[in-house]
Amino acid sequence: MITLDALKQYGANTAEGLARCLKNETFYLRMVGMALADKNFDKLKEAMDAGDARAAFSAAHALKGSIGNVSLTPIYEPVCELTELLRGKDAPVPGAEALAERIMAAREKALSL
Amino acid sequence: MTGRRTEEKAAELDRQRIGKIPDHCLSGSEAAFSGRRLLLVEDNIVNMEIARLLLTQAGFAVETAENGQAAVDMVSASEAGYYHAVLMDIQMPVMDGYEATRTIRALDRRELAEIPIVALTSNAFREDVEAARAFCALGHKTRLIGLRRAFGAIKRL
Repeated sequence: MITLDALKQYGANTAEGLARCLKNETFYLRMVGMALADKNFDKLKEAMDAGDARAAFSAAHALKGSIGNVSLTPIYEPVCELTELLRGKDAPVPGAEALAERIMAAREKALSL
Repeated sequence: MTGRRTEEKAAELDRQRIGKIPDHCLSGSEAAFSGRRLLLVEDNIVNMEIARLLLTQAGFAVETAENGQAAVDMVSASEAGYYHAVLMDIQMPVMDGYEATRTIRALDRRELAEIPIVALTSNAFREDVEAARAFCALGHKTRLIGLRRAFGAIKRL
């Protein structure tokens, strides 16, 4: 089971995430689990594999909200970068693939906590 | 999550789902919003649950819809005054917040068409600003605001 200490060591801003959840640790950790299960991770991967920049932007933009709300910084930062990189783009963009891989790797690391 | 629940059942489900909130976290403003029911429209479950937590702790009864079409359906089927206001996410599948607001504003029943709608966003990018301008043009009771400022706005509605 994921813990606050594990999240802190992972690099999450747990103080910020907890504050957003009215300092309810049980609730915050449940939200972290839900954010990591966000279907937009799969949508992002599918879009990147298909070279669909618009769909990838949409998925990254959605992740920005849920991941940002629970302050999972190691995922949030590359999500923000990728969102900006893909904004308004219709075709694959250099650097997007590497950012997507960073996002997925950070997610896998969080899931293993 | 869609569908209508009674205020008591909704509050009980929220308590079960959220668990005990530490006393020092309670806002103390429950009396100000007690009895007011909001329709929270949000497609992302994490965003919805956090918003619901904050709103419930503030004393609101909260019902939810996962997209704009569900929101339109719930508002259309409601009695006048059932919802104090609608909190609307903008970017959603099926029907976005802008389209949902436009559709609600076009309802035949005036008391429903004029329901206060507050669009929730933390975005500040050009297309969001443009959407915000279009959103606010849908009526004097339509506002664009971040959730933290929403409480004051809802109180003034």
